[in-house]
Amino acid sequence: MVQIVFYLFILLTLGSAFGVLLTRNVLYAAFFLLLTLLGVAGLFVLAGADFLAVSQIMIYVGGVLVLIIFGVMLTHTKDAGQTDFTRPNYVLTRHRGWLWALVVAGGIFSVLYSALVRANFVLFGREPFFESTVDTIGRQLMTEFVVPFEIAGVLLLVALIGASTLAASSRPDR
Amino acid sequence: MLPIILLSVFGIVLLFLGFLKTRAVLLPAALLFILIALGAGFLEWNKSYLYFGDMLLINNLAILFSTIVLISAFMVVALSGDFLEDEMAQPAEYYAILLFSIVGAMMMIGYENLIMLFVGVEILSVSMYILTGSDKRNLRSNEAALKYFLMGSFATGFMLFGMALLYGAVGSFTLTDIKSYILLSHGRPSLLLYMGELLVLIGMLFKVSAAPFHFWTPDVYEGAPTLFTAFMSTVVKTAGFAALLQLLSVSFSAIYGFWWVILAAITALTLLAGNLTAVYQNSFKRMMAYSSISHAGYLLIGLAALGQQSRSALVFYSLAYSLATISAFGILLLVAKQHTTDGRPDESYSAFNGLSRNNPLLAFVLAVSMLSLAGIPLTAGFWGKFMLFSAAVDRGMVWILILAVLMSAVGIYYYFRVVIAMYFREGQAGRIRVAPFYQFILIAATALTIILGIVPGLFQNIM
Amino acid sequence: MNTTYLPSDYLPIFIQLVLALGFIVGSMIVSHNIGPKRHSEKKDDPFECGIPVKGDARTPISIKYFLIAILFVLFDVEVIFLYPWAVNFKGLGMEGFIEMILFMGLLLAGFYYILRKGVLKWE
Repeated sequence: MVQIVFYLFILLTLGSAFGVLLTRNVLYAAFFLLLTLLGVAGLFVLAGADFLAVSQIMIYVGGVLVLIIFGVMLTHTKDAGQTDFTRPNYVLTRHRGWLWALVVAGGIFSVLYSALVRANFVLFGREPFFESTVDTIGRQLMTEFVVPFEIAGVLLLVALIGASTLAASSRPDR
Repeated sequence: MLPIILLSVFGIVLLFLGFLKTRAVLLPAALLFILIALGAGFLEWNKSYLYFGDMLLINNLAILFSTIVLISAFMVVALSGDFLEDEMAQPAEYYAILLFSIVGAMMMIGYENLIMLFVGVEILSVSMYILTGSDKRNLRSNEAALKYFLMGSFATGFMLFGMALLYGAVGSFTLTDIKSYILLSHGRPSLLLYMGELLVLIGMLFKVSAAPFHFWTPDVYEGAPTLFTAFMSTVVKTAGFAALLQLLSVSFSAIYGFWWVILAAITALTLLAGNLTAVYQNSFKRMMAYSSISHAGYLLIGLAALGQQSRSALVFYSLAYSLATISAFGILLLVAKQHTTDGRPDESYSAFNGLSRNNPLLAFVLAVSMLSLAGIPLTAGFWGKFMLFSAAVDRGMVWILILAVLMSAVGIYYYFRVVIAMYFREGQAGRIRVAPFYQFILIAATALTIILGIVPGLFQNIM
Repeated sequence: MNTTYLPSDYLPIFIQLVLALGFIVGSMIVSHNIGPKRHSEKKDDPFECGIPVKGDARTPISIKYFLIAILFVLFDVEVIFLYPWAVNFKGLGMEGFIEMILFMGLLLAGFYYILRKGVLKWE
């Protein structure tokens, strides 16, 4: 049963990822991305990372995707015609061939694949256990990883300032 | 540790100082904050501490690197008087982001846990994306920010993936744990470890703009406001090389045989790409971008030939490079303002024509910095190169040495174009007014370059 | 609290998701296919009477929406950190509380900055 659901989610993830690549419409691509992210969230659940799945849905599906759709709406221009950007999202533009892209992507994939298949993970061989990770994450975050956690606050603050300096109108209206 | 906390707080303070009616207080406040952080850093001199459950390691090397970062930041802020007059600029935000980015840089310098490295890299990169795009009226600046952001996040993705693989192999993010894992594996560590190391290296090499990952550099450096280009090419590079040194010397020194070939190849490629392309540039700023790539190549020699000498060599070279680069950009900022083409500052070589006639001081400062970058004796840059090259000799890397010397000769050609333009070309450069403090910073940087060039032992005694 | 779970515990959520999606998709397909379709110039107009339609509905929106979305994502990330902390609230005690206050303080400083800057002002 779990196996079937696993493959269903993989199908969902990969299928909609291809949808993102091949669709002609940017908005459709954004919605396909939604499905991809949902599929990945499902895979996280099956891998025993429930908190990660929830954050994935909350941040990516709930936040980032809205941002992307707003971005599409923000930049949409009428009758742009058939430019490079309204064609299906082929991986590279027409100025370069497919060859290099395929060589690089295929190379990285084959190396990673062989590495991951032959690798001995530390956690490998243990019985899969499904335990709610929220508890552990909370304790780790507040004790062992408290410094990166606090400084992640600085990172968020920088992003916040950056967003408001770059995106807001900077008319000196004080 | 203290400087990191202080700078985070100071950043917020600066942000809120921006709400005051007057902008005049911002610049001195920022300078004061950086000086306080500099002093606080030296409180921990000669003590080696691990902070917060092995998150951060503060030792003398880390303090020296952070000192270089702080000095560079101090100089950049000191040269930033223009922002206070520009209506569209938001100096409080810029200074706050600069301080936060130093927090990121210091985390990259003293990290002991890969999580810290990641958060540090992210803070520094996000700050740089913002500062690159801060000139909102300039289309080039917007383009540069977007390019930098897209490429940078891609590289960060590689790095994160690499860290995940390292965790998969080792089961810990701590550098010493990775080291002991390698030592315990009897020379046959998991394949994941190699993959992870490579991917992390790719991410970091992108940040320091080493050769196959350097393509973003010219456009970003040219598009960004000159002052932030100076910051980017010094602070990011210093922090990036400190992080690489930490990673390679602590964790991966046991598998040196695996990565030195890769790093040496990248070094050779970086030296070739940076120097040969720099020759063909007509814009001074773009030449400086390629020159920063080539200096990344020289610094990489120190990593590829990792040994006893390379630590002090890297520190010295970073310092020499930072001083020379910032004073060069400082002069460019002044000169480019005099000539405008299409309303934008003129950043080509011809803007420097005849600079020495009416502005002998500025011409001298720029000449010294060019000599130092080219590695001419009696400047700090010469000793930096000398130390790096002798580290390579220790490892017996003769072919890299020959290539580096050849490329330095190429470097002399393009650095001297500016010197020739200043001293031997006719130009209608009028007298440029320089604020006294600005002048002081330029003179101090030049003096330091020359002093370090004459008595490099002064510095080595500190190490 | 029961902390172990099986993937099958997520089955109700999955079923609900499938049902909700299935209902929407199904009813849309059915209503499109069953209902009669008569096309004419007047029928295809968005409004059959009143002022003639001008332009395109998909005009670029104001940057302000985008900015708000960015801020939403940032605070969303912050909220995500709250959950694991809240679960352990008692166990972490005062120390954890202070740590969280610090983290929140950083972002609240940012929030105050945004308010003062007038980013959220809508005229």
